[in-house]
Amino acid sequence: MIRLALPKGRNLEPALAALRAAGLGLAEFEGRRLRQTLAAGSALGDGVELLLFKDWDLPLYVEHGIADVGIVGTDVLAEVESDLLTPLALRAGRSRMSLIGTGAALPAAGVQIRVATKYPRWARRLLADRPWGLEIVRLSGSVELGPLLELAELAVDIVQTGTTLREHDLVELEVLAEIAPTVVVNRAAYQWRREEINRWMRALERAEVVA
Amino acid sequence: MRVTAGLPAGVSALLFSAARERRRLERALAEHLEARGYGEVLLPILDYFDPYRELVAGAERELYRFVDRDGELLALRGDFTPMLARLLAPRVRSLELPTRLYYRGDVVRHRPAGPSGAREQCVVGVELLDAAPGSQPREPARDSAAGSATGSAAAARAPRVDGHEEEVLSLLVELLGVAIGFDPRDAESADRGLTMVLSWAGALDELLASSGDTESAVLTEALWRRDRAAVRGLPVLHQILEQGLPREPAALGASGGAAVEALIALRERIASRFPGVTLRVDLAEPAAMRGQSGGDRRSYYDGVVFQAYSPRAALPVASGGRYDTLFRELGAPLAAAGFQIALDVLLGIAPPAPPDRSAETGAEERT
Repeated sequence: MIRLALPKGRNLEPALAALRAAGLGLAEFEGRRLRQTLAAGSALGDGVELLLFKDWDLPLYVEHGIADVGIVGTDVLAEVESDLLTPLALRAGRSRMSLIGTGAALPAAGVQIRVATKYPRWARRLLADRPWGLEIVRLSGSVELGPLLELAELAVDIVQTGTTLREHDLVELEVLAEIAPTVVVNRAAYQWRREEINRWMRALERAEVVA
Repeated sequence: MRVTAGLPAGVSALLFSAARERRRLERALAEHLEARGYGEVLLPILDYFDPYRELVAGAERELYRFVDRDGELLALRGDFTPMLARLLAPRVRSLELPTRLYYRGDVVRHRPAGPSGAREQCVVGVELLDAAPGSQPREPARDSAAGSATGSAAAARAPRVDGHEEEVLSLLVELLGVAIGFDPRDAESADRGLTMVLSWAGALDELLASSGDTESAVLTEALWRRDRAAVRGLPVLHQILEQGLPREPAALGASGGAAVEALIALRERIASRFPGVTLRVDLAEPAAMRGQSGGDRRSYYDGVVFQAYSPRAALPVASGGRYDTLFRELGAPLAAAGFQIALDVLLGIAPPAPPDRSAETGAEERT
């Protein structure tokens, strides 16, 4: 039985939709139970053990082999740098990692700026070749407050619809990267559950829910 | 008891029963190796850093290095095999071939956090050295630093196996059977789930090179991550990604095709001896991909590579392969094959010894 890790956050619904489309029976799924077993009857094998994790913890659980397979955003993967297989990315639930500010233009070359983000490691890589003196400030949430309250000149954060930005008179200055919910697989689990995992991947491809 | 609190990241202390378990496992493996005619070698924890710039190009960045009080740039031991090669290559004339040796001890490497993030790892390893196929050992270069490599590793040795791989692979299967407590010769042991994945370093070089440097790097990364979208429309790579090998070995070119044929034959021979182990060929395994021309993931393996997996471990239990090129670059044309067992991973899946109350200190229960 495959142990499947699902994220509690914004990627849960796209993940569930993709799995349903691929034929995984999720009728018994209870969104508040952290650990549950869905019985056989699934089109994809002899049942599945579902584990619900916070997005930031999910790669760790899969990397440690607590779960065989998971679905998590590429934003988290880029920040935590796990050694996981990433066979497929979902079509739904996509967003973008953007540079956000209060003005309409990027800062001029040579100026010193501060950037607020939940993703300090990834932001450092994304902005490595920018012509600014750069200080990265890590925030744990409400990153848009960084430029709004002048803690930082810019923010690097996820933009989905842009509504939050408009509500706070912030501007999406530049898209730095696309983000997608992505299937992740533990390397060892792939070797001893290969047929089963590949069957899942083929089912997701057939359902046309992956890029 | 394993303690990591209060210690630098990636290292741990084994106290009392945990230390006894480790030593018991080490002893069991060592006894089996001695019985098979392998002799122990003890290597220093410190060495000069310079030889490793070339010997383990790319991986040398993981070494802990420092300047000692005499101004020498030194490194902590990060791998036994290159150190052994460096020490044995100039002395190849005095070796009685084949030479069978084993070692046990810690290696220290800087790694990112994660399950593979242990920076100090205890390993037991084996090396089998023999005269290179079709040649006699010659006087090696005096300088033990690496010479310049010419041509790719895959081109340097024809893709075939000659018995050395089979010997070390069989030995590894036996050792894991001893440690985990099952008989790999018994087909009913297959439910233990021990899986050996065989591959060939550089088998995909010819195929990937035909796509150009940039595309080759992208495809290497895609295979490394099993990224199915990136190889969509490339049927041979898709087959490798999903099945481990192409339907038509010739699709990999003459060298890659011969490597696949040799791997399949090796798998059949090992499978007939050890029906209790699952064996598969997978050309996209990281150990083989490190042999590709892509970036900093090169390793010294140049032929058959293998990794052992257990359903109860998130990391490979052991890995190894053929590495003639390492010795050849040091001026000693030898056939060389070996493996390393990750003792801490193995400890996680080996059955514990019966409790020995008389040896218990009592400290553990009170802690």
